[in-house]
Amino acid sequence: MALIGGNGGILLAVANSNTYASNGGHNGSAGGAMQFDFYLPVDVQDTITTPSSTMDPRSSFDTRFTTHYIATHNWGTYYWGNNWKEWLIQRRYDNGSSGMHATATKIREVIHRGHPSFNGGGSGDGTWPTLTIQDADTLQIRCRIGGDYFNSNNIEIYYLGGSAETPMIGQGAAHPDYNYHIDTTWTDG
Amino acid sequence: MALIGGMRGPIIAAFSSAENTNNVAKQMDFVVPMITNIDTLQSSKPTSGTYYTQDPVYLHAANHPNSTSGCAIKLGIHATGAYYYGQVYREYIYFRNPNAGSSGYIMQLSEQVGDNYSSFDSSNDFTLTVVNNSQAKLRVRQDKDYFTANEVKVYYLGGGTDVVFTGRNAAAPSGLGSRSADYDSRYYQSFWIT
Repeated sequence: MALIGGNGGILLAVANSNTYASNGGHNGSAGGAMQFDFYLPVDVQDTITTPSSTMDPRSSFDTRFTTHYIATHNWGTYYWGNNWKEWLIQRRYDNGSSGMHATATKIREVIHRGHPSFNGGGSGDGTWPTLTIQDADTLQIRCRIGGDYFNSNNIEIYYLGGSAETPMIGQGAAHPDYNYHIDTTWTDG
Repeated sequence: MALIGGMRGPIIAAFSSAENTNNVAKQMDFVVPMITNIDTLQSSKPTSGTYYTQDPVYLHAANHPNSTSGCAIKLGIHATGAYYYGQVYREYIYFRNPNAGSSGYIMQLSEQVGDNYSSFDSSNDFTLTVVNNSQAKLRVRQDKDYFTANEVKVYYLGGGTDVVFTGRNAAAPSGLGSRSADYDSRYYQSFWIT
């Protein structure tokens, strides 16, 4: 799969609960929190040409071990406010029975409660959104949103960095072969 | 608008106070890429198909039809001085909210202070404020050093509406459109009550 564009701002997912509510899927009777799944890019970038040199970092690149730096921005328009959270998704492989394993960790956040009841109320961090791992093999992530009136929740999920799919600086898509080489000889000790 | 640089850390705006002739603080207004929708987004959004209103492209277009839409952008600002030397780096989030009571607001996410001469830190005159929320116009003011020795660079770190999607069909002319109203099922978002 390819990453389209390159201005640095990449949007992974977007949602609003009003569209869902308008479709008759939600009337607020169960509290107003909703959830959806999205996926992180874990493939090797399409344009990478695997070099023959085993000292090149792209040779035998292992996509099982990746990190993803993402941001969630959720906002409400009734009990209104905005919340920005930054997350790190880490994935590793276990040679034992557990296989692929991933974790989601919130790094930091800022929140503005225009209305004191927005997103849990009070002065602390926002209750929503939350991210949990659904499937480490495909890096399927479940996002739960809420915090405002049932049809007034919105969210955007931005990609900030990491991943096996990140293009390497110095390699242009127009160059089927990479245009710089690592010629350092690696030695022990 | 053009973003300088294409891989990481494009610069949105910068100034130097070297030409300052009066001993006054220098400030700069700049517009962040939040009110510019992706050119092809509105026209390429799906208009039919199963649950097409829950497609990410459709939702993004619906959420950002105009400049009053809600959004957030992350900026990094590096303020430096060359006389009473020093440097400070801050990361900010600029929020816009379509609620009628909101005029936009800025929150500081983090700060790192560099190797500063004591006189550089004596001034706290380093601020980022909203000038015009509907235009997404911000103002950075920096006067921490001698009035001809201040510099500022504003880096774009993520967010905004002028962004691209991942996972869409690269073969489509827009790069964003659906595949004959049938889109990649990996990016279909299903909603349910929790």
